[in-house]
Amino acid sequence: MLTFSCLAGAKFFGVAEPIVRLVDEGEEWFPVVIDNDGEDRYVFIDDDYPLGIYHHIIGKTYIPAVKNSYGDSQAFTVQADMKLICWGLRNQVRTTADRIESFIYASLPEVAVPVRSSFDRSLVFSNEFRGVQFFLPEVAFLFSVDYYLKYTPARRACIDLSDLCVE
Amino acid sequence: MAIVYKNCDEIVIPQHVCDDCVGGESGGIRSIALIQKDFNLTNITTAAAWLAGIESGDIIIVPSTRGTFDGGSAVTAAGYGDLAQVTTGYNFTLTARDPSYKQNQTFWNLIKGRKDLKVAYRTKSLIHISDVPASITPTNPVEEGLETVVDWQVTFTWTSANLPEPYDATALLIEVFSCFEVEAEP
Repeated sequence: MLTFSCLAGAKFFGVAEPIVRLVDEGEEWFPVVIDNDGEDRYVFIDDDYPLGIYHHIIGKTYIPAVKNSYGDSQAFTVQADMKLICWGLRNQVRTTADRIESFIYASLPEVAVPVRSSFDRSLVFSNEFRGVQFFLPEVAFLFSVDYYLKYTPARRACIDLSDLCVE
Repeated sequence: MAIVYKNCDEIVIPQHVCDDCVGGESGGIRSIALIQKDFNLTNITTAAAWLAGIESGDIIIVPSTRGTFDGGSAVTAAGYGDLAQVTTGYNFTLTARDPSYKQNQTFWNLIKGRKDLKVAYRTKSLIHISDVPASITPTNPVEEGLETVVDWQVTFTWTSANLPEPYDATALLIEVFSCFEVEAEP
């Protein structure tokens, strides 16, 4: 049975972006979380944590919502295509990637709709680390979950610009 | 003795106006207003006239709606002579949906009992007003589906011999059809 104890110490990194490093062989891309000062933080396998999760925002699609439009404004529904990346160390979480993925699926909030999962470590790795030679040890698992968020964006008149930037 | 053929008074029909440069009016019932039937909206295209009605409580604005107007279904009567029937008027139906839901239950519940309110509706740049009071029937159905919106679906019906007349809604007048509160005098 999968319990919370096997997730104890898991690290949730937030939304990551790819950055590039120039090496003799060319470019190496890897995912990091970048803060508002431009400082980046590595989000991949780390012995300090048994399991880590981060996300990518792939893009957004704006769909006219005729039935939700009132007055002179055209309402839209936003579909944000997302990717969740989960890595873990089998000897610490003591369970399988498949069971972790099932737990994540069950834990997604209602606004998040899962689309597909990929357990191909090589494929997921190569997408995350373009130009980098595969280095995952056998003890590590890696999978991705594609999902989307569907929501109604705030109307322009209802946005407080003073809330836009974090001081 | 001369023979005189009797005729009705001649109806002067203005010329049809054509203008290749005028685009069509965009549809959608974007706003509605309820106007007390005795309120004298003298200068219908000025914001000041509407604001006076709002301040006196004779005009109620519902600023943001969507809906339809059926354009009227003909009321006919049997004709005489060579005419099989004549059009005597229209039954009009306007539907408007108001998204301000929870806080307006009392408003719509009480408005339905009023029999003295004309209805005005705004398309993109024109305002039309019923020339007689309308019967008002608000409903609040809930549709299937997690992404549907619960709103007030209000049906206005009236019968008149005349088609609603469109008036220009200037930019200033369109501003009157905005979300605001009328504060009581201190």
